[in-house]
Amino acid sequence: MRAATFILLSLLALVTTPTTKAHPHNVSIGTAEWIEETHSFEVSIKLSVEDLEEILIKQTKQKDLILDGKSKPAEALVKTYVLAHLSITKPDGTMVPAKWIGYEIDDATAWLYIEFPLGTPKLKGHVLQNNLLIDAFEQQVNMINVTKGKRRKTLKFRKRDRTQKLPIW
Amino acid sequence: MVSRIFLLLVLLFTTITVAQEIPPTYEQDPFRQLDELLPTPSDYRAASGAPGHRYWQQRADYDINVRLVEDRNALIGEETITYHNNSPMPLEYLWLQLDQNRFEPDSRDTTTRTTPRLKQFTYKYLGELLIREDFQGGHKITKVTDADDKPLDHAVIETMLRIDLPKSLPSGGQVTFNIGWTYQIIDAKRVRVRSGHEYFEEDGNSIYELAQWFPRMCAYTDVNGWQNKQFIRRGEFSLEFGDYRVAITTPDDHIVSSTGVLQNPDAVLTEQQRERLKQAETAEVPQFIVTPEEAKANEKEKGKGEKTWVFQAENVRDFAWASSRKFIWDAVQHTSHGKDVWCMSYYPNEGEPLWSKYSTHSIMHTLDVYSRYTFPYPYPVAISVNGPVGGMEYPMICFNGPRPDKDGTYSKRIKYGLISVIIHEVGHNYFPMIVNSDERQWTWIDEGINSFLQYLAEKEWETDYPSRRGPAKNMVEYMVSTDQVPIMTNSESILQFGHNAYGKPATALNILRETIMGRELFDYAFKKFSQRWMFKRPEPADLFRTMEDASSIDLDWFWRGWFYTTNHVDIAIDRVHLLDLDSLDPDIEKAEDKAKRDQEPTEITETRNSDVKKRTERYPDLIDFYNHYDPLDVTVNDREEAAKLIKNLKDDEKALLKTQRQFYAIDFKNEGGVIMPIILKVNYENGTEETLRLPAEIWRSNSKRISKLILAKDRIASLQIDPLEETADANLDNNHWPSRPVKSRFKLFKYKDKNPMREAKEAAEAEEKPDRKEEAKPK
Repeated sequence: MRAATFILLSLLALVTTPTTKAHPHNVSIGTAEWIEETHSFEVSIKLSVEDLEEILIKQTKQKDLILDGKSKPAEALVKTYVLAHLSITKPDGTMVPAKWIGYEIDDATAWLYIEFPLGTPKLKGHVLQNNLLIDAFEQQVNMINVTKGKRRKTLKFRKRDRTQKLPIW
Repeated sequence: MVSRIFLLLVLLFTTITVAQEIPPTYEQDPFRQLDELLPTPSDYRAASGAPGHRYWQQRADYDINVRLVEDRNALIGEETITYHNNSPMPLEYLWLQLDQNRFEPDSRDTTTRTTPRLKQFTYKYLGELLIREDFQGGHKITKVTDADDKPLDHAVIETMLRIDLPKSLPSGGQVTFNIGWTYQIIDAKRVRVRSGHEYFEEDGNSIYELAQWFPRMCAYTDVNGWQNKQFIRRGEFSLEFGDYRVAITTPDDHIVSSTGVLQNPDAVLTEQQRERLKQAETAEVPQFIVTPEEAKANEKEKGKGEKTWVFQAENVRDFAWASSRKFIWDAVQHTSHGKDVWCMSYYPNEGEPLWSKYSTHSIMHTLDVYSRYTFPYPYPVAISVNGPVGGMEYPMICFNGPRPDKDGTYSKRIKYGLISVIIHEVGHNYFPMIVNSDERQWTWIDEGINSFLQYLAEKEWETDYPSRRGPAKNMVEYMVSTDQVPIMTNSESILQFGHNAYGKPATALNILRETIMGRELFDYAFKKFSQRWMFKRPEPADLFRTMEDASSIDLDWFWRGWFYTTNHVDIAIDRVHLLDLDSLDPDIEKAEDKAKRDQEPTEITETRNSDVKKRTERYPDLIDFYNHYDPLDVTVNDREEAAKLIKNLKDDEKALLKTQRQFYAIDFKNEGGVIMPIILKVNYENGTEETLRLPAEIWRSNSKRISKLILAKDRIASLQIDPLEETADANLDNNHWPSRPVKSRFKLFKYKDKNPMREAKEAAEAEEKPDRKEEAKPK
């Protein structure tokens, strides 16, 4: 069954055209700020509430799901989804235990907050994965501005680039 | 004289040190005029940004017969093009566009795809590469002949077709020729395209959305000559205006929707449909011409014969159509800004109930709002079609994808996604279908302007409409990202396409309107631009120049910062100095100076030497005048001098001397690079507040660091830059005085919502409650 899925997907993307110029706006953008004192990344990501609702409704079959930023059961769904799709892997291949801080809604935007305590001052060899919404929307692009002090580097995640190395600062 | 008064200002707290900075080099000056970047004005394009007095553009009229062969998903077409050479130059050859050739295995689009990251090389990607190896998707040219049907020499070069004219076409001349072709319609369910078909397995029928379906004339312009850059993927179309007569032959049970006006309704529509159209002519809201039930019934069996629908369109730059037996059709004639326009939607039952509720209303709304900012919609028809294409625009007709789920319910995303995409695609009628910019060169002109107008239209649909693009603060993360190119980048080379060509220019225009020019000035100038270039072909310079020409505001710095650089906005309050006026009264001033001196700490050696017996104490003869002299003692001389000074002052100057104002010098730093107006909110100690709007020219002598003097009536308690977040200031940390580090969104959230104390308290209360309940229970 898995193989079949692959073939189907490939056909979908064949002659890939970001054609529809109307709304190439399946984009999330966020910041991962390095906190020297705690050796951790504080990550905030903004994405479309509707996109997030749509994928959660698909996954949970809860047709009436509305993300209002208040409901606890809804937050649990968001948390599960986000932590399954956003991670940092250590050089030894194990995962940095992510800490869910929460989320809030600001108009059409959902803000997600996650903390990654790396437990080491060395970023080298750490890999950031950002799969949010990528399987739901063909043209989804996720961007994260990684900042450490005054330095800043933008990492971009797409269907074919789901992981990126953290900068070696 | 005023300057003298200021010379007498004495610093109370600290000295202002004007940092000795290296003045910006010529290249760094953000106020440097754009002249050297913009093309020299000519007879064709005036320095005012208007079309010049000898402006010209070519014209191409089309007469096309096309047949949709449903069982082969193919088009067979023949066209007669009459090309008018309005340019001052003779033409030896003509160029036409064969856009579908992009789908050929050896196309520039296919062959220039770069290696993905090898670690991520998936089976899926491999599959794509293999399938495209022998995928035939292009235009197959069957004939190219002259008016007498004699073959013409021609060559196909990738997505371009060159026709060699037997003798050159003189300025003012016209030439007629014929082209025959076939066209394989791509399955849009498997391949993402702007034009294709969608097959519905449940009933065995398809929806066809057809665009870039016929060989179209390339634009020939005063700016680029032939615009025959190969079609790679993103740089869309550059086309000439002309009149079209198109005869479309389809299975006789299809409903055809098209650019233009139907010429033979009697031949293709039923009497009932014509009757319903008549009613829709005067109706307020959309009426069904084909009902959902009729469409459902129509799906059941296929017609045996064919019908030919004839459409005529005047002064359009392109022609697209859609055809299916699945179509529901609703229509209403809507009067918008004095023009009667048929607003119509075509969609399958799969689009219900969303489409009949929102599509045609979205069209009418778009015309009402866009026309107000530009010009009354000049075409007789505006159509929205639902099919496989997510969102794509053509003259009078556009294709929009969102549909509800199978059970007829839909998410909020789908609902607003549909309204937004219809506003956007119908809006494209204004830019670039009528204001005909060159999309192959610049994506941002039509997409940026259209996204801006889309935002205005959304904000008039309902309060708190979930708009994605428009508000300044939404652009901040993009503008600080490191993976960027300037807006002024060719369509094919853009990074972060959506942010670059849609979001940032839309935001820039909104900032121009709300913050820099103000609504009245902006709206006047923007309307001028739209009307000057209606049915003509503007370049970026024509927009930049018109916005200045019609407003009297020099915006070169704005275009430079926002359109030619990747800098962001970050203005900081560096320091604040409080100054006092010199009273000129030595008794007051010297006493103050003495008090200040007394506050200064004594030198440490002096202090520790306090019990050392000094030489002058041992030999008092050593003491003279200077041992008692204090320059801060007021002398008779001081008083006379002061009296003389005051005597020399005029009466109004004497009054000024008594001014009861607080003088603040506020130092600003430009950390981001893009200069912007400084919006400064001033909170006074007496509880009042005011907002100063200092135009961007405040940076004109130094774009990195400036100081502004404020004559305040009261002591200032605090200051804040950009309180309404209207300038896309990326770092709010440095926007406050006294300095108030603004917590990152992360920290703000973490400490706002996570209150361990409250949580503990709530937990304790929760534990208590059940106990209380138990007590309350009757035993």
